[in-house]
Amino acid sequence: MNSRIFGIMRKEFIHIIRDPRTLIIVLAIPLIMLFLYGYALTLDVKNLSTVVYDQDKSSLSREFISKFSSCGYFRVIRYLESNSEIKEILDRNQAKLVINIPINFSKDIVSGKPPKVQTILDGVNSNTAAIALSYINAIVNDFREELLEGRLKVENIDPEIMQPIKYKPRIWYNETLRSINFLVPGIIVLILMVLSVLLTSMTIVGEREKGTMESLVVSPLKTYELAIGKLFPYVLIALMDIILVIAVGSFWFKVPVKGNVILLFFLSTLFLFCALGIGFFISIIARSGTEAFLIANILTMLPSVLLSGFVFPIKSMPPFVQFITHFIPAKYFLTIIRGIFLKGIGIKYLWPESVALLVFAFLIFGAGALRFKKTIE
Amino acid sequence: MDEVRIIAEKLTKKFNDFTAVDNISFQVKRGEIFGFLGPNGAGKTTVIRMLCALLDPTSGSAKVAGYDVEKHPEEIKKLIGYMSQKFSLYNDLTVEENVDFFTGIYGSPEKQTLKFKQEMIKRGGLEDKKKILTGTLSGAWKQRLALICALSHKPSILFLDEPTAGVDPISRRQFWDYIYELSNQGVTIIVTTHYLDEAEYCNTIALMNEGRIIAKGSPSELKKLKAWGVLVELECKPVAQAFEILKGCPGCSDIGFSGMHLHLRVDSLEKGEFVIRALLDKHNINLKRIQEVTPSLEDVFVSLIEEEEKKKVKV
Repeated sequence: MNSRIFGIMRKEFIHIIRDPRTLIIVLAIPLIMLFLYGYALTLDVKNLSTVVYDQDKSSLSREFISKFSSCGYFRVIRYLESNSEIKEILDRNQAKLVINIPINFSKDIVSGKPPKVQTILDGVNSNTAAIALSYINAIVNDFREELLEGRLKVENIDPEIMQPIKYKPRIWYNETLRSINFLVPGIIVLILMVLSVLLTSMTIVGEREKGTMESLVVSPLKTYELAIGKLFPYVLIALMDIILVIAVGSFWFKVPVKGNVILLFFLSTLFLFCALGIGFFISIIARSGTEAFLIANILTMLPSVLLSGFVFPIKSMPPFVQFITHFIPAKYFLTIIRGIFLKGIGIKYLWPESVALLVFAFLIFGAGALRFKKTIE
Repeated sequence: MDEVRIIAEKLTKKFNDFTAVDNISFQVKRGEIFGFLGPNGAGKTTVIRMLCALLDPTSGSAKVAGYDVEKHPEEIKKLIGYMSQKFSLYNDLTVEENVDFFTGIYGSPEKQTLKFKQEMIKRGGLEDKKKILTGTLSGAWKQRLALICALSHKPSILFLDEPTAGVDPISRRQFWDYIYELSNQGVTIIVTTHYLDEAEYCNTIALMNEGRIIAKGSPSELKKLKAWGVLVELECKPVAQAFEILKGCPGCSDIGFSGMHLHLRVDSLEKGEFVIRALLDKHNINLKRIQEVTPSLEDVFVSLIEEEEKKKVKV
């Protein structure tokens, strides 16, 4: 092997081993991020705190309430005694849903006069509210159908008559609709991005701050030798982290990997080069370590969360913002990793994204090399 | 031994409107110790950077070991060693690892250099410090290590950029002893400094100011350079008051302090003594002693730069 590249590599490995902070970054950051995001960031509506103002207190009203409390999405935390409590409990943020059952609930049902049931949802978080609303509708419909079926049986009418259409919804790819299945691949993208950029953003600017850059530029070392020698150790580290996060994602969070793991690993490496390239570029343009850290955060963390489709669908963004997302490598990799994890699709459908990553990697390293030559002077 | 290793012709470097190096020419022979002396910002480092092929000259040309700095930077980089004032070593690497690293990036094959490396470490007296982290070494030891690293690929030309800044006098002397040894072995040495005593070690000094070489020669030649008048040393009391009075005295120039005494330049010792004694007597200042002295480099340096300033005012 080229002894110059080898010399740089050996030195870089020694730096990493001597500095425990690097090892902490390499091991702790991916795990902390994975667990933090994996547990805290959930889009599922579960155990929504619910209060009930049951004015009827009959067996039918209790049955109606139990439909809510037994489904897992709602948790009845209190029963109210008066109408005036409703506003206060919502204002105080003690409950997100109020179910108000009128006084003649069961009597009206039995006599065939539809009672008026009221639900009040806290709509501050529109997302949660919309999901909760769909659950409420489903529960109420269910209850309605049960009542109807009972009555038709009493009247000896075939209940089938009430169903002009038979409807069977099926969901593909993420059958149980666990949002964690959707999020974990995204978190992996985020981790790889943040980690690679963080590790490499100090490589060149660090030499400059230590004053050792001069020794390097007066030596016969070529730019590509410096880049390869410096980045290789971090490529190895990042590859280990890819294995780590994919393993934790599939074994701990039980996110199924339906596609080819080898392909996943290979395309992750491609993405890795984009991320390392960004870090390397930042390291070249930054004048100090602090500046490098700031640029790294602004340039990678925010776009990778906001503009990659990690949580927020790109298709709902205004056209201009959608245009910007074309320049975010995380966006392409997210499509790839979700495709392989959840859909089990292969390179046949993922090649456009793979090519985009390849082009990005070439461009960022090219820009870095050009810029590097200038900064020496 | 008279082989010319470095030739610079009308070398100029401009940064936008600012001319850092202004039309300088010089030659350095094999085994010569060539010093650039000048105040900060005189352009010394820019010259070195051009000779190391890190900066392209705006105009003019330079050849190092026969290679043009613009056309063959890679060849030059293989031949030269470079040591800067900042001791650019890795503090978190051990002494030996630093030497290994610098040997590595110069692409020297391991087997040949292994013996040489041990020799170098031994020569630097760093044998028992091989496994010590560089960051814990004192300034003088770091300087030795930096020199070893700069020499690890056996360069035939060595550039030293303010090499002994922040090093104690004894270590500085040892350092220069070693530089002489290298020079005897045929290594060409280019050094920049603003320490005048350090410049005395050089075979040839180029005095630089504002990008130009204002004088060049051996230290003894430079000291004789000033043809006008003689340099005298005065011992008088109170010295500060005498300085103020003599500053405006006609026939005297280049006045300055030298320790507790005053140095100034006069036409001749007899004439000067007469004028000075008369003037000081008038102010009741006691002149204990006046005598001619050989100018130090500092005196030459100060008067040359003052002359330059005067020329500039006239223009």
